[in-house]
Amino acid sequence: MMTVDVDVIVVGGGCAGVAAACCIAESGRSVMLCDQAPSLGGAIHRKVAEECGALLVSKDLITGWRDLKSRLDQQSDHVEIRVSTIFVGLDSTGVAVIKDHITNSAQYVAPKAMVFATGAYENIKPVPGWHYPGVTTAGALQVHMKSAGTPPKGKVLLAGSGPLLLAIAAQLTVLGNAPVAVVESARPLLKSRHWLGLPLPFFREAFSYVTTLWARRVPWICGADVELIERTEKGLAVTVSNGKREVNYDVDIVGLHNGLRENNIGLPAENLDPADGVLVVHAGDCHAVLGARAASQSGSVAAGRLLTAMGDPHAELSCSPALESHTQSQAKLAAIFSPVRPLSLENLPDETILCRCEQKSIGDLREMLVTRGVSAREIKLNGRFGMGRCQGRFCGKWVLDLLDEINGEPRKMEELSGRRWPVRPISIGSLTGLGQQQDVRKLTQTQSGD
Amino acid sequence: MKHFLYWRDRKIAFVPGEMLAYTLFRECRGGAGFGKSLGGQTQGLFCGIGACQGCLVTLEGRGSVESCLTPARDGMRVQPIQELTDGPSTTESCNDDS
Repeated sequence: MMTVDVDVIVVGGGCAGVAAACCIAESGRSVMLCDQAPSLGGAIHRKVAEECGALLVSKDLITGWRDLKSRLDQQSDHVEIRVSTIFVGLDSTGVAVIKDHITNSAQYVAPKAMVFATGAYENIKPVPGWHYPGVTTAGALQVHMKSAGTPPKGKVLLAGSGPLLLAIAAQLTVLGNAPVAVVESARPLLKSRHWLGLPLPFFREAFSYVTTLWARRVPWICGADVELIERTEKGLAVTVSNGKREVNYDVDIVGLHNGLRENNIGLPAENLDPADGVLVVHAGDCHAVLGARAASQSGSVAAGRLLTAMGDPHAELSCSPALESHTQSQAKLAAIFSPVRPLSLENLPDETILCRCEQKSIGDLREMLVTRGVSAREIKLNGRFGMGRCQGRFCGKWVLDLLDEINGEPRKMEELSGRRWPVRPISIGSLTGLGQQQDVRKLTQTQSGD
Repeated sequence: MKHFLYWRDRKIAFVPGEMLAYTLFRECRGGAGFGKSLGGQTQGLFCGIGACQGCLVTLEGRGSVESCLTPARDGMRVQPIQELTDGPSTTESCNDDS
């Protein structure tokens, strides 16, 4: 294998990444566009089974994606598309390591700049029993529907908060496996003032989801939370409470979701100064969660910032549409779906698993926090929170929240997770393959004058 | 035409175009999940986007992979990284209706 010569690597082939790739390619630069999935599209437009495509993605979004794809097709001379390709890391010499997921082979690329458009991932509030098989993120159930064209088998309960939860509930219903209930932490229907300020497409989408659920008599239980998930002979027993009354459900699958967050843990920080090495920008939901309708604009804005830093004087003007209205819409959605009871770990029993990877409980963390002034780094190294396979993606926020509650000191995620590569596991086999490229790597460094 | 792969040496059907994790999720959605990791944690579908590493399985000829990023293919042979030694029996917890 040879080191690939490319101006910009774009990691993530959803709307934001493709828009960024188009802007950069249109400026005459070469782009390598990588995505971990077998096809471009990201969370929204990933390969959707034909029989249900129109049911799972809004029409306005499909049109937008089609336009982006044809723009990308016109740049085929400048853009090399790599699917099933995972970004592993950017080392201190400015060499990026990517891995072909299918062949398990790693490759070195020496780019001038990188765009991270890795989208969002789901916040999941820990509850006792959330680590059992059969408990997934609600988003994973949506991927199931999109890729298989059928809903997951068995009785499903959805719980948490946010518009995505409602969307997935409606999609399960339309595909013939309506959830036994949707448990929503907020009371969204009481927030009419915020609803009225939302742009029409949001309003239309929400209305269609709610009416779908009403038509099939799917209970939408607002102002309630899952308290406990237990394993039984038959599946999972879920206790739901609104603070006054408890209801129990026997199900096979629990889909949890408490909103979205930037999928940027461990990624290189933004850098717009060529003196500090490879230029890096974050785009789309990876930069700030503004949703699908803002993603391509956000990708263009990021590309504009990058091209300006690369010395293109007109770049920022040519691809910088405003994002303010999307920021406002997201703030309104957050207000509509703000939980009745705060998402605190305070009332969870000690034995609740907090770190799924290392099976560390809230009790383990509380014990560590008895020592005042314990640092995020100590919590990671001694307590193993954030140390496991997911690198704190799922426990990190909650560990830091609890640390803040007890010590009164807000901490940044990177104090726990760090910004080291590999950001994703890579096998010894792939690394052995890398070893063969040492000469090429030295050559690259010499050429770049390091 | 139906498509099949092998999970724990048993033939199971999959939908063309879907990721392996979803084929396995239909088979083993509860109980034993997808077996257990080298660290001893029960494996299973969780995030579906390669972030949690909870759905790692062993793919013959390839080693451990995130099943949520691996397209299901005809004749693919897939095993848990390790079988669970405690908890519910693996055969009982699978939904044997494929």
